[in-house]
Amino acid sequence: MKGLFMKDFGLVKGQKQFFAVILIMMMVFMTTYTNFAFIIAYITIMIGVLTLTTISYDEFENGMGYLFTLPVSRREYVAEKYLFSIMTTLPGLALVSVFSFAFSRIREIDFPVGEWVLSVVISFFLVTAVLSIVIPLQLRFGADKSRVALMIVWGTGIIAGYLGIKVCEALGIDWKTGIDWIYGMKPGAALAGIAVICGILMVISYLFSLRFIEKREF
Amino acid sequence: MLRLTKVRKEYEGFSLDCSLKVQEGCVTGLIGKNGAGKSTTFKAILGLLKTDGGSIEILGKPVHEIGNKEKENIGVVMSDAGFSGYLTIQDLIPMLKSMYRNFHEEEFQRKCKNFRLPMNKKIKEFSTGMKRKLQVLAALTHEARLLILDEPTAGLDVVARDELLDMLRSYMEQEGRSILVSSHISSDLEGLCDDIYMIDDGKIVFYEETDVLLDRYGILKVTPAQFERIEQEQILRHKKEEFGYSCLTDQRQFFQENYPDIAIEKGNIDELMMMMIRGEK
Repeated sequence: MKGLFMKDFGLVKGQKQFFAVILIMMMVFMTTYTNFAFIIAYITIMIGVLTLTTISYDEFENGMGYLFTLPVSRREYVAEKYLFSIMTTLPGLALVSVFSFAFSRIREIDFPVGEWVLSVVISFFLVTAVLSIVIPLQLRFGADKSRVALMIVWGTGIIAGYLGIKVCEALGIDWKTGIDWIYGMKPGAALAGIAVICGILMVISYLFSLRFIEKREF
Repeated sequence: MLRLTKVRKEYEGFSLDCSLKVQEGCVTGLIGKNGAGKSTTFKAILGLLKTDGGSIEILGKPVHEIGNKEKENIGVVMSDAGFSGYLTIQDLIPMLKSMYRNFHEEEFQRKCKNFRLPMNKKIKEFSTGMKRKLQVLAALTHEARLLILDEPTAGLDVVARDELLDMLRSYMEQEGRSILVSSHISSDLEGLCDDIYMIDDGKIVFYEETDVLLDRYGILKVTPAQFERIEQEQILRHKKEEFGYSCLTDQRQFFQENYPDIAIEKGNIDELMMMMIRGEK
């Protein structure tokens, strides 16, 4: 697996423009924007996209097939992608969170510690959710088709949510109490809950990815 | 080293049904026109395709049991795939070092230099020939016991091709090694292979040792009258020509001795392939 990490860090090393854009955006947001919760989420997801980029680059000119002729198993490949996403996203999240905290203080913008912690946790959840959905889709359908698949998944999610609300209303269930309950949770419990949900999402996503890549022909 | 037994793969409009064997210490060639099934066969061997039947054994193990340890003993060149174009050779070195315990970094770098492959340029900017050289060098520099090379000389100029074939010959000087190679350049195979399989429309249609092929096979150029009087049982394939018939035989000497009036050409792989595919039985 070390070789795969070497490859992916080699691929990321070549993304100087991408990092320059992220850095510029971060500095522009930090100095001009006041919604720090949004900045943390946005930049974290941008960094999360790096893992997806490495999958696209592996697929370039059927390179993924060749990769599996080297001493690399399909299982290792999938596991490495998830580990790589954690190894790149977490430091990115930490960095943007620290900067957000510092800039909010320097610019004297009201961004309480509680809200800051919540923003970091929600950003972590968002990036986990996005990667958990997109990594298996990309491994199953390839870079181009996975965009269409993602739109279908996204649309299905929205429709399912909408129908869920309608069904609750028809049955006389007040779904808003559920939201209030989440908001009313203690920070420790919320953190633990989100960590567990993220872990479950990642494991389910990994299992789907593994199934897709093991069935794939090159 | 490698054995395929009745390996089947079905696609719409194409079906592979292939058996072949690569013995230790031998270079085995696989020839066939475009779309004949060469790359499908290679991909089946490499576990990149799910086969619909038959068995594949590499280095004494069924293909589905081949793990990373066994893969270290295999070097691969693929005709339609390679290292990610977004990497540089400099990026590949630590990767290959981590993947192969016996990767010879210095030798790899020296050979890259000899082939004038730029170390810091993205591979996607390489020419086809450069990409092919890189794959061959990577396959040759980790002490593999078996090389599986699909069109390793495609896109190379004459000099580079010659250098590469020399490298393959040097590779074979060590005991216990084997190569399965395909090429559309028959002279590459004639000078390198110990035996040759021909595949057409997914089926192996011909197998022969190269020495036998070059010594015994020949093409007879005969008029219709000559065609009528020659021993038909010694003719493997015949093809109608403007002058009469071209006939493929594996008894060249017999015809040379008994029919001195017939023009007989020494067989080469190109002509053999043409006759086997286009000729009639």
